[in-house]
Amino acid sequence: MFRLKKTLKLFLVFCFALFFFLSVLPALRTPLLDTSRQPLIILTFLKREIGAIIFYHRNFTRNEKLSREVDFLRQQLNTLREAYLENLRLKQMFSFKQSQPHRFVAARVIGRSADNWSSTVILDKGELSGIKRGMPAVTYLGLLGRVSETARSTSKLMLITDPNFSVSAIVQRSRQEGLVSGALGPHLIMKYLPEGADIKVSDIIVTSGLNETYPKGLIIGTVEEVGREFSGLSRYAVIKPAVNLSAVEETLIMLQ
Amino acid sequence: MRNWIFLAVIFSLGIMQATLLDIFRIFNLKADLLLASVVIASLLFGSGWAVFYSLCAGIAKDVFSHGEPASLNTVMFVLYSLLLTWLSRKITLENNYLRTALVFMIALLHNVITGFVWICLGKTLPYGIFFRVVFLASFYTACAFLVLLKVSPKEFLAQ
Repeated sequence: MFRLKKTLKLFLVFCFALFFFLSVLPALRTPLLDTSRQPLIILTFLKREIGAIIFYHRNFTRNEKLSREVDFLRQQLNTLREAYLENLRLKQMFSFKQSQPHRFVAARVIGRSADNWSSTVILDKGELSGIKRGMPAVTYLGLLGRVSETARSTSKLMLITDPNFSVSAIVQRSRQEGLVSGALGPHLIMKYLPEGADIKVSDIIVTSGLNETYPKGLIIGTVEEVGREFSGLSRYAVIKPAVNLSAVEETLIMLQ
Repeated sequence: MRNWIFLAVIFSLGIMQATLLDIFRIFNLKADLLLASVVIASLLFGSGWAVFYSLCAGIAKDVFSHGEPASLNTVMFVLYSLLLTWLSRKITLENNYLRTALVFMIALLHNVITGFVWICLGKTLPYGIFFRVVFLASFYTACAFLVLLKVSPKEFLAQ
């Protein structure tokens, strides 16, 4: 009788724990994330300031290098602006309709993943700004990731290096298709390339547009290495992301 | 009073892990301060409080990380806390270096379990990255634990 009571008690505790861990805890996560918004903003600001002091010399030399680059790019931008204006004039001439299919919401990174097994960042905008789960995030350099969780005033963004992330992609030059996935490290892996795939080092990889979530032509990165799968049936490519994911501070969420 | 201070410490460590700790990343890895706090709680407090703190630390970690698979950190942290309170009844864990070794073992176990869960879920994880996270992150967590012990007030750590 005593043993039966003990077993029943254990069973009840187990059922309660199962219910708690599977239903109550996930529901608690979003309000908790919202509550931590202000401390996260303050500490991210502090982190930036401390980082600036610690890495003063590196920043100083980088600043000099970037200043030179800015001068060069300004010159190029001017040339491109001329080309753009010419393109605009030609488009108008041929009555092409200039359409802007996407709207963006700018968000600031206020926190990063607390563990080493995922690559996510916390943003300071959420459902109130129209952000929904699954929306892609970009910077002016290329694809950054996808919104994986939203709260009222914060959201979590899964970066392209996260192992959960996959996107259908093509090689810009040869239009060879493949699947780009994150691998937790600084690089991405493009899988399911056929044996005779036309892909080589320095090729630019862009989104294919086959998946409705990501518009076609967003830059993902450049090929750094091409290898053969262990099975010998297909090839893979190691891709360097176009965006420096460890230094990203702002992002644009593509509202669809 | 000490109990509620420790709760605030756990919350602060969670926020720090998501923000300030990024500066101290080594090989793109950061120490798991929340796991270290679970060990401290299990060694300092009774089993009831220790489980409560582990639950809070686990929730904080799940909130600030990817959180998949659902509540893995919360469940594991509670189990580690139960294991540690049981272990502390069996053997004396007074020496700081012994405690650090214990943190290393727990962190190693946690990283191995998490890594295998990710692999079982079909995620792409190169061997190099898997072993780097498992060993280096555990070592880094143990070092951070030692630092935490050094900077904590002695009265606070008294059992």
